[in-house]
Amino acid sequence: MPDHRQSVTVVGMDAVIDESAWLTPGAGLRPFVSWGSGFRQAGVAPRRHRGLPSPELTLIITLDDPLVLAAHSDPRRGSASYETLVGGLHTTPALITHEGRQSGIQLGITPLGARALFGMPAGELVNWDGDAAQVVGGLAAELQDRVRAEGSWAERFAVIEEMLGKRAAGFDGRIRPEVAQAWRRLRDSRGTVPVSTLAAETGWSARYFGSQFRAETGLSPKAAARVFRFDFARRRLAQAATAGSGVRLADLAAEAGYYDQAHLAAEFRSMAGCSPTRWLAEEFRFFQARPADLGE
Amino acid sequence: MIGGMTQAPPPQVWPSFGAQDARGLIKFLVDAFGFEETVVYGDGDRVDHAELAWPLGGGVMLGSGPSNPGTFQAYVVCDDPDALFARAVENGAVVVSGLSDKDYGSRDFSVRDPEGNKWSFGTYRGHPR
Repeated sequence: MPDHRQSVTVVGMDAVIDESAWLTPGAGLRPFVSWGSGFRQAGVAPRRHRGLPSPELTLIITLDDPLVLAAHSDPRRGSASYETLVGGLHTTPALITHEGRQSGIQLGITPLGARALFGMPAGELVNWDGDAAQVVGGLAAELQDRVRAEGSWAERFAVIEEMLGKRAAGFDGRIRPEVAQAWRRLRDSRGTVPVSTLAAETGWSARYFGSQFRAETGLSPKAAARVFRFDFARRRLAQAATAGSGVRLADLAAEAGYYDQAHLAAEFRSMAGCSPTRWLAEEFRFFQARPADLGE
Repeated sequence: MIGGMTQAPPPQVWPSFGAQDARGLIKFLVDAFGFEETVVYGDGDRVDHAELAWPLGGGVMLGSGPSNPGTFQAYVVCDDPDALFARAVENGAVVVSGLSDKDYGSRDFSVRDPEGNKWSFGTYRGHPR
């Protein structure tokens, strides 16, 4: 069952709506969808949100208003708005803006999920974000219609489970076991296993391993390790902020496997486009830790 | 100019690419460069497959699809995709999509070479001009 948080405050004439819910993917979808969340806000302050690099691809199905991407992770592309969106793995931030209203369902898709749900390796979508119809065709609009017709998060999530489950059955979602294993090792170690170790474990040459890994995921093993490490660091940071406990950046750097605090800060500039402190100040008010994070 | 009236030979290697706005891009390629539309299959904004011919010979294929700007691929006509697929994989090509029969009658696969360039192979020989 999804966790729900919902608040509706009526101030004068304008209702402030702020709902969110977490989708825990069922057994059928779990290899493909690592998490999902539903959100609906209205009457809140306009804001800008950084879509940070993470080890998951993104699928967003909007409900009431299209999603406005003010800046893609690929800076060559101009701003655009989308009813449904797919985003590939990336190592620079995308910028999402809204004018006080936003609503939709966001799913974190694994590389295996890219094969199973999108019918292509994650590598085909690296640094790309855009209209989900370009990736899944008519399913994008169909998902949105079905989700919009439901009245609760639980029902919307059930539609997602059903439709994506059907979709996954139609594709050959295999990844070479050596690459899948290297990805799991990076995930489980939060990006701290040396790339040379990963290559050695496959039994392949470093060069061959690198090209296989990159073609599948779109990221070099080293870039993937950076993304996993950064993902852990920023979630830890946010988690400490939400818990009100705070965290020393030097301690966080050590815990996340950075050489020192300066390296952590440099990585934030590169992947988030700002310092850790600025990111927290921008996002904190808004941030909701995933249930999985709270258990860590 | 010699041989200006002869029929250009059908291409067996086609530059190909995905487009965010396929209809807009087709119009550009025709207006700006002088490509000629051979076929455009699709519905509304969506283009499933298009072939544009170059007047002197050869052509390009494109369709709506996720594609980063500036990335070209190649589609290569082949007679025995199964054997070629085995050979490509044997030599380290990375599979993007395995062998499959398309509804337009082609048997296709696509792979990446060690530098990340994408190659698609199939039995479809292009629309007759």
